[in-house]
Amino acid sequence: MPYPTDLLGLLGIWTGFFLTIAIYSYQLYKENVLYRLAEHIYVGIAFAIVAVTTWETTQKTAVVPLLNGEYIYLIPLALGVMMYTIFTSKIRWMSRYSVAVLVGTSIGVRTVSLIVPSIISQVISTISAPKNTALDIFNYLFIGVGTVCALLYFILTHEHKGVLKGTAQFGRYVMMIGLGTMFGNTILMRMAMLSGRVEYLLQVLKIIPM
Amino acid sequence: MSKVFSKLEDIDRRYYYWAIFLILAVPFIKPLGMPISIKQSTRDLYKGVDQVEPGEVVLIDWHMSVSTWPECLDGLVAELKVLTSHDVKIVITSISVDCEMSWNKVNQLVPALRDKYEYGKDIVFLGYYAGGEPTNQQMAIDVWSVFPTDHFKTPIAELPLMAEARTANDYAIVLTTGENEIVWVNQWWTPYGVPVGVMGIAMKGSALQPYYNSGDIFGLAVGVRGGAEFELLIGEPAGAVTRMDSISLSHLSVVILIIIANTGVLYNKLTGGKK
Repeated sequence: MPYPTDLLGLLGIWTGFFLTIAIYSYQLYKENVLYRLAEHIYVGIAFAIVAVTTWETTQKTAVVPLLNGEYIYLIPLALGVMMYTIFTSKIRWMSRYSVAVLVGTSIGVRTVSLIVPSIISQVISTISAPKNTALDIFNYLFIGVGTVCALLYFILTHEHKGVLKGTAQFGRYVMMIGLGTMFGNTILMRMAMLSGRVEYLLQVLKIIPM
Repeated sequence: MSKVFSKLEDIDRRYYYWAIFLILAVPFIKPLGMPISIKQSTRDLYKGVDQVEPGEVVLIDWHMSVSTWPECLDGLVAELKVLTSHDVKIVITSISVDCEMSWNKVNQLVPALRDKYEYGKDIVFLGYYAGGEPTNQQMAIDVWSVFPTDHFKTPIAELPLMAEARTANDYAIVLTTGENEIVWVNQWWTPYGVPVGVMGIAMKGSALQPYYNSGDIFGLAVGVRGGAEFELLIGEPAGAVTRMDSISLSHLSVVILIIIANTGVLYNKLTGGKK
């Protein structure tokens, strides 16, 4: 995208520039009025986009078909409206039907579909014979032993002593490594998002090409 | 000496933030060209994308908002370059409300989408959908029932591509960008055998690895690193490769800063000083 030359384009990128600086001023300086302003603008715009998109989606997938004579769409629309009764104490009970349908449908759809990829495939993958390299064999043993030990950690009906003490402790370490890896990956992602903002600031200042 | 360590322990965290902020900027101004090795999971993703035949239909699902662009966009663009070079037909859906901005951006960055592809015949942008996993299940049965129109309010029956891309069986592969990959595995791979490839966020890398190991995901590239690897595989290093320099340098600095901050704590503990 070339650097904008028209007034609207310039206004857009410089607004983005100042809002980015305002948001980061909280971390780089301290809480201040500009940060608060940018935060409120962000929340307001995000909510507006969600509201408009939700309305358009409802209109497209349910209201228009209903107006075209497909009366079956009255059911999901009614359930959707009933969800909002949660805000009125006298008729709050109506929202429970919507929540029940939502939860029931989701559980029904997921229970059937996740057994194969998330349970059976994972068990087969864990116990499948390792490939040829030493690292593959190490991974195979580590995952197998680590999985069993992590499960042993959650045996709460027996005191963790004797054989259970060492294995549960090892299982705990395995879980800590796993959680540490996920945290590291989270930092990696946040850093990537920050790098995107830094790149944008440099582009607006024409230090690097847009 | 103890004063130095005490000061190290008490450094205002804002100095760290400033350091990270500035360090991230350096590689954009002067790229370092740090080496990037390519993981097998990314090679498999590339292989799967590269093997789609001309005329076959690929579904791409975005769980990528504008804030996730630095993480996912470059990888997505690289995938689209491969698909468009093979004349593969593309259907795009999204569960991010700001997906129109991503659509516009992708059209800027992949010239073939503008120059070679005809909207409605070669590519369709269905836009946002709500409802979670039940919607994905319904899409496998009948995409038209979930999307009566495309994102631009064109009736789906008027889009020639959608006549041949109505059920899961009509699609060669599904590619996910960002998150939301497991629902496609659950609803399109397991019951219909449509392979799923993932250009995911780094945060979910370790959670998705078991699905790749078990073969439920045919290829996996995560985060900027995955995007950079994909760019190198197609021979067009671009945004993600540059960004990797920035991220590698920032990570190195984080490690150094952790060591510096903890040196003071350790010194005081060892010498019985400040508690």
